Amino acid sequence: MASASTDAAKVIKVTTSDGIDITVDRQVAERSILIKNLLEDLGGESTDEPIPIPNVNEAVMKKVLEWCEHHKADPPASQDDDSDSRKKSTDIEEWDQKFMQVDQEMLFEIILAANYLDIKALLDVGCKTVANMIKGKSPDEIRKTFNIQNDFTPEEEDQIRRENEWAEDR
Amino acid sequence: MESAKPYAPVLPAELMIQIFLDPVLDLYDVLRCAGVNRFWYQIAYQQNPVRRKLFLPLLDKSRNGIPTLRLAKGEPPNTIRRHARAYPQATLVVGPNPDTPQSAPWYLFLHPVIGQNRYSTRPDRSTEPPYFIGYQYENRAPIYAKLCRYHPPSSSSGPGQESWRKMCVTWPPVNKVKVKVDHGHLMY
Repeated sequence: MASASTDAAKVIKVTTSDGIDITVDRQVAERSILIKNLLEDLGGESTDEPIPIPNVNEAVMKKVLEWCEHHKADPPASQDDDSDSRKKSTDIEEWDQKFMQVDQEMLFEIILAANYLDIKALLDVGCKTVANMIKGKSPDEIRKTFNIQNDFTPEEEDQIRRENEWAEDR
Repeated sequence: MESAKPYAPVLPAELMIQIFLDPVLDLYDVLRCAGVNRFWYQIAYQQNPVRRKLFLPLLDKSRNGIPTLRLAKGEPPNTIRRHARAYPQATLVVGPNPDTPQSAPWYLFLHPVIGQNRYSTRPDRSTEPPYFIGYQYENRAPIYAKLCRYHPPSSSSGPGQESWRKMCVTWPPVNKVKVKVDHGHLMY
């Protein structure tokens, strides 16, 4: 009996915002601190009940779980390690780079999902990917890249351009 | 269809801050980001973690959001408060202006780099009250000396000049420093 309940605890189900149930290894899902805490609160008894994730749809959830699967063996980052490595690393590891080669909508959905599900390492990779898209670009190029509306008045824009004159010819 | 609509991402402020703070982006990148739209401008200039990255004095909500350095008693008039609010790169200093000690005991101290052009190209510069002290960044050694003399570390308990001092030393990487030694005194 004991072994049966251990087996059952190895796999869990989550329900996405569009009502799809996804079955996933508990170890993989626990890369999400939100899910890990939920499971701990449930005390392992009702793990056959699907966990509702109302903020993430199926496509994004599958993508996020793909990342969790690849990183399931990563050591959990301690607070110290993390701030240290974040300062030093300006690079994204190769697998993560490939993983993040998605359309912009998916990229931002992944970032929002990582934030909601509390997966810090994935959130860091996502933010760094966006930062790389911003790097070295003029305000206008940034607007074009992300399809952002310029809502400054001409006067404000002129003033900001002057503030930034020294920063632009670089 | 929704998919035909171009996608314009809006991330919550906390995530925008994390992106701006990423070491991939340097000071210049963040300043360019401030020119994208109002939301990005606010993230760059109104959020203390990002202000720290820009070496700007931190905003203090208890002081109406205006970074203030108090060296003397007295309440500055509303005109200068309005100026201070319009310049996210300035610190309101309550105390005698070291360049014109005879004038009113309050002035705005501009960031040694950011905002200098905005001030120097103001058409009404000559008619402005002597509120603004600006310096060219090339002369950062005198800025640093001045900051140390008039705003000693002990006076910077409030949101003050510490961060600017740090910038003078650490940003951008220094290639050349001109130092003239004259009779044992360090001259800049």
